[in-house]
Amino acid sequence: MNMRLNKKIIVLLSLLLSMILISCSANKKEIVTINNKNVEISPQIRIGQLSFNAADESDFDIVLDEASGKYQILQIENTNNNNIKNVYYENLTSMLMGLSRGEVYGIRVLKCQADYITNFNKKFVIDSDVNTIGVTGISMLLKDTDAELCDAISTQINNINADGTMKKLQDEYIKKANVDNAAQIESFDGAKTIKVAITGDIPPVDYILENGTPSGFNVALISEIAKRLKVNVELVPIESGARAMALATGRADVIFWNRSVLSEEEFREMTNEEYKDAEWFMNAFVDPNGNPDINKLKYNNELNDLDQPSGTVATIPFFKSPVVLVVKQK
Amino acid sequence: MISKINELIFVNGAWKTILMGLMATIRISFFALILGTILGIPIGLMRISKSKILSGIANIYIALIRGIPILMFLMLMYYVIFAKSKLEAEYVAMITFGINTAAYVAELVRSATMATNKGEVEAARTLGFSAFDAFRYVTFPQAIIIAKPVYESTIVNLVQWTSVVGYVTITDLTRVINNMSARTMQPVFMIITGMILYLSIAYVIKFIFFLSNLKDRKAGV
Repeated sequence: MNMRLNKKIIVLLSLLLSMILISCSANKKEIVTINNKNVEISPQIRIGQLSFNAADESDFDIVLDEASGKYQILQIENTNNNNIKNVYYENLTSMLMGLSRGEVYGIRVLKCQADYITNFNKKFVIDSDVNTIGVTGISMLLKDTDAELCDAISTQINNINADGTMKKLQDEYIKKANVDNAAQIESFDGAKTIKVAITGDIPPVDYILENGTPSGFNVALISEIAKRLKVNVELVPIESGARAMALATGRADVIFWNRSVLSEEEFREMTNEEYKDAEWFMNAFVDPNGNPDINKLKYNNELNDLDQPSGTVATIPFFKSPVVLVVKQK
Repeated sequence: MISKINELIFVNGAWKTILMGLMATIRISFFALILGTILGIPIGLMRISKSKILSGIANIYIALIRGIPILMFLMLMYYVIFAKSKLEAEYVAMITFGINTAAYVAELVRSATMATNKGEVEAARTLGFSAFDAFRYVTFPQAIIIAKPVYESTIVNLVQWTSVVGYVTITDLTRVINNMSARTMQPVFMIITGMILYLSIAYVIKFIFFLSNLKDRKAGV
């Protein structure tokens, strides 16, 4: 009796196992042409994306799908399948691993990160032929009970912008990606201390030096702001997935968050100046007549609003960079 | 390959940071193990005791702790339970992993004791041994031998579980490796380096147990 029951259980289990195995078998790869290049990809085009922390990823899929449908982020020829699937990664390292092993066709990152990645690892290049969407920037998030401090930081960001210090910091830490140099943090006796969470995940804006010191543009900027506000800064190294939790529970007072709501003027200014000559930028933000397409901003701002944790206030974005697609070198 | 190792790990002293991360991992694991063993043995004894209340409490503790993912438990401890305390993150991690390991040690105590020969205990009792003496001289030495290999794997598991402490602001081996792979953009190389380091910890633990078994064999236990 018992033996028979055991046999039945074994048969059932093996059936279940084979069903599971069949359902997770890898997608068959096929060769498709993307912008006149032959690429081996899964029938579904998978694009890597850093995980949004605050909201449901399916909400983002809806916005991104709508945007990609309208702007044909990837133009696929000779195939009916132009279904884009967003794959969300916890951090940049795992995203790069996914790209290395061909799990995704490309990854969406900030232009400055893309430059850093392609500079340090020659296996990756920026795909200048592919349209992408959005301008993402970085803001600081604080608890809404710290709204005063938030306003003070925003004011300082404006000041730093106005007197040219911002440009200097950007040149030093982002353009040159000065990897060996950490900004000095001044200390003020008796002043209050704000705890700033640092992830070390997104060079060149946020990374940790060989000797374990947090560095990068974010650190340089927060130390400049602290100097002007005369407050002390304590850097708290933390996993990026735990930032919102740390802020909500008071383990950190300031966290950095990808967020930039652009006004139309700012958008036009960006299109006019720095990125005007870049091919990828024209693909991404300019309509067929060569004029900046303001509609593309709508999705950008929508994504930003979805991703702000409740109970927080954001400073004005202090750094903005278009989002580009990084792919493997052919 | 060798030039890559040299460039990424040795030239700018990155190995010192890796070593600091490694020490953090070892510190947390070591003190969590001590706490877990001290807590786990009485809980395990409670679990096999004849008192229904004691064994019930131990049972609930074990079921609860083993059923909770360690990362969520750690975040609950650091961000909620110890939110107002000035206790450093590393101590919170030691306490959390200690509590977690205790549940596994308790189960280990129970299973090892149950695996010993009941007849021998009865024989000892008829020979006039007290219940405590029978446990001490008959059950305990046997249970230790049975428990050793499982205890070893509990320790190796504990070391690997500690890799999530980056979520509570601790820079351990995993965090150092992640930071370095982000900065150098060489994730595959760095992750393999990290794996080799975790593997070496596991082998050191294995070796310590090997030596102790050798000693036991010489002593004729």
